[in-house]
Amino acid sequence: MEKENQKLLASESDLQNKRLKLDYEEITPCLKEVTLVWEKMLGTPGRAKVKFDTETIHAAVAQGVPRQHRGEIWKFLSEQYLLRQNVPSRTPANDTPYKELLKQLTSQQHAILIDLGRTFPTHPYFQAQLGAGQLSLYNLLKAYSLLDPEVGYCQGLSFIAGVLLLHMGEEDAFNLLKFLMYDIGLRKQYRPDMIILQIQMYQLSRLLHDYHRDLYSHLEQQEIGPSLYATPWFLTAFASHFPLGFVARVFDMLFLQGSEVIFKVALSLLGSHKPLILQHDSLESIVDFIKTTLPNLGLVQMEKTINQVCEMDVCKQLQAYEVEYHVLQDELLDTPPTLNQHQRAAQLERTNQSLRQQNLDLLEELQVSHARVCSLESRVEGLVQSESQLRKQVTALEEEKKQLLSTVTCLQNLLNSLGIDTSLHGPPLPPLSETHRGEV
Amino acid sequence: MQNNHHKEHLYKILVIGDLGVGKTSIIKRYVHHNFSPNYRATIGVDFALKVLNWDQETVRLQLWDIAGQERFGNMTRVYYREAMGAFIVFDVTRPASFEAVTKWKEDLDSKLTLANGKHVATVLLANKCDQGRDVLTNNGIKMEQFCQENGFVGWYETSAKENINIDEAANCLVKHIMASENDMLQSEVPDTVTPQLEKDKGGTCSSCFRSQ
Repeated sequence: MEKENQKLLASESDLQNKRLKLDYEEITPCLKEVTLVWEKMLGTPGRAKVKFDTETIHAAVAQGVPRQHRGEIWKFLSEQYLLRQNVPSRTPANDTPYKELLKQLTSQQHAILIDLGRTFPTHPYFQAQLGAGQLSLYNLLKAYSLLDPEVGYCQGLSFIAGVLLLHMGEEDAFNLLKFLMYDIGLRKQYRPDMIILQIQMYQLSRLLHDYHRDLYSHLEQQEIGPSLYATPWFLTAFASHFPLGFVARVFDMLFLQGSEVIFKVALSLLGSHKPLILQHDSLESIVDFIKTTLPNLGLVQMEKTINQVCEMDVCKQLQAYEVEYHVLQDELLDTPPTLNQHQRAAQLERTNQSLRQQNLDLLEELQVSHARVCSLESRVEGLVQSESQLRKQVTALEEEKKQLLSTVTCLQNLLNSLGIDTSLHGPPLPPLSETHRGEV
Repeated sequence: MQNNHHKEHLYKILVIGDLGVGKTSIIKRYVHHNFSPNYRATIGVDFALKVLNWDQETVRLQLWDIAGQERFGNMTRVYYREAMGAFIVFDVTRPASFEAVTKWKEDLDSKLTLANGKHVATVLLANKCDQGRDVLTNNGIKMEQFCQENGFVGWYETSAKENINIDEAANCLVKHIMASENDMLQSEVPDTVTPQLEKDKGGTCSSCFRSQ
């Protein structure tokens, strides 16, 4: 009896926790039919190995994700993402299970502890000092820092981890954090040199130049670069400043499309607020507007933003601007600077470091591409083989058809010679009987 | 220079120090006159503007709140440009954050020098003094010695929570910024440029404790 009661109490507090965690306003409220579509996909036996139709999944995400299934749906989307990749992506060198990681000590403990109370500080689940939310957050961040010692802990990560924890248990959250960092590739931006983050800022400013020239010039006039306002957008996937309902939708898209989504959301947000931003004309008021007013979007505005993101494609530009960034950096190095030797040495050191990192990244990409080429080649081979097999089959079938036709003729001849009127059982093949009569 | 009455100054001030020492809280207290235990971690940079009336002049302080985690240093270095002063903050309840102070100061000096080749005025803030005093800050003489050795123009025990000494610290910094601005303006007059500028270092400064 005692035990039962405890169980009951535990499940009750679980439920309460779940309600607490999901207490946010949904942006695209999910209709019953759509929820059914999701439930059907989620309930498919052997789901993790079944490739679902991409269009169907896209359509379902666009129509909304039911909050109560969101965690499971993210897991589903991650499975589908991995199934679509023909090549296994780079996994962490360390594959110690979560439970084991929890037993170890991290050198990042101090930084993680300090940020616990500063991650969603007003959310009821995370608010209590060293309450359930903060403890889970601590475990998750600690385990990740041990799994990925290069990144360790970087500010911003706690918000990503926090969003995951609002939708699932610790261990699932750990797996999905791993997915976001390694497979979606978010981890690069948190590396200690933060060069990728700077490249992303450059890419965003170039995209802004492409899509909203007037806004770009306005910001440029005040020397406002994206790193002044968009750093938390990238490092927390909008989680630090925006309403949770919106953040959840951004994560839906992130799991569906990958890291490009952050650029698209940023671009869409800036674009839709352009008239308002243009009204401000000092550094302080513009940045203040983007940082504090803009995140309090209305529901309609949020939904519009997400819809726009579904339609956008900036993949090619992002690639081009990344290359451009590196070229510009190289040029910058070639111009003789007016620095003293010490500064110059330090600069060269930094450049060297970044080039080395770049090399590693390129090597990684090369490996992935190689693997892709291999898999495509083997697919081509397979297709060629199956083509020739099909050809053989066609010839065999044609041969069979010919034989069957001649059998039919023989049989008809036989019938004729026996004096049975074949027309009784249906019309005979006219051209055949014609020729046969002639012959007989 | 002639028209001193409605003169406006705009000073960019950096607020740096280890993570969680209370940089954001100090700025919010100073600019918005409030305190909350619920501030988010600063990711990247933030800034706020404080307007002061100073001897019939207007002083606009642009306070730059810089993320405390070391790896952000590469990204935030561009925001050091043209700063005229800085606060380096540590948490009196965490000795490690004090040990990092010299590192922050060296980093600041390596990234930033004034037009006259001097370092920017920097005030040291021993924050969270409402939560008990650290052995070190108990010893005022030692702290002053530390400041002199490390090139701080002054130090204050502050509490953003209880609003202790924040205005005072800011006033001290502004005074020094103005003094060094005047210094630079004077040295710009062609006739007075002297090659012995370095030797003048012993001269006393107009404010705070630092008299020799």
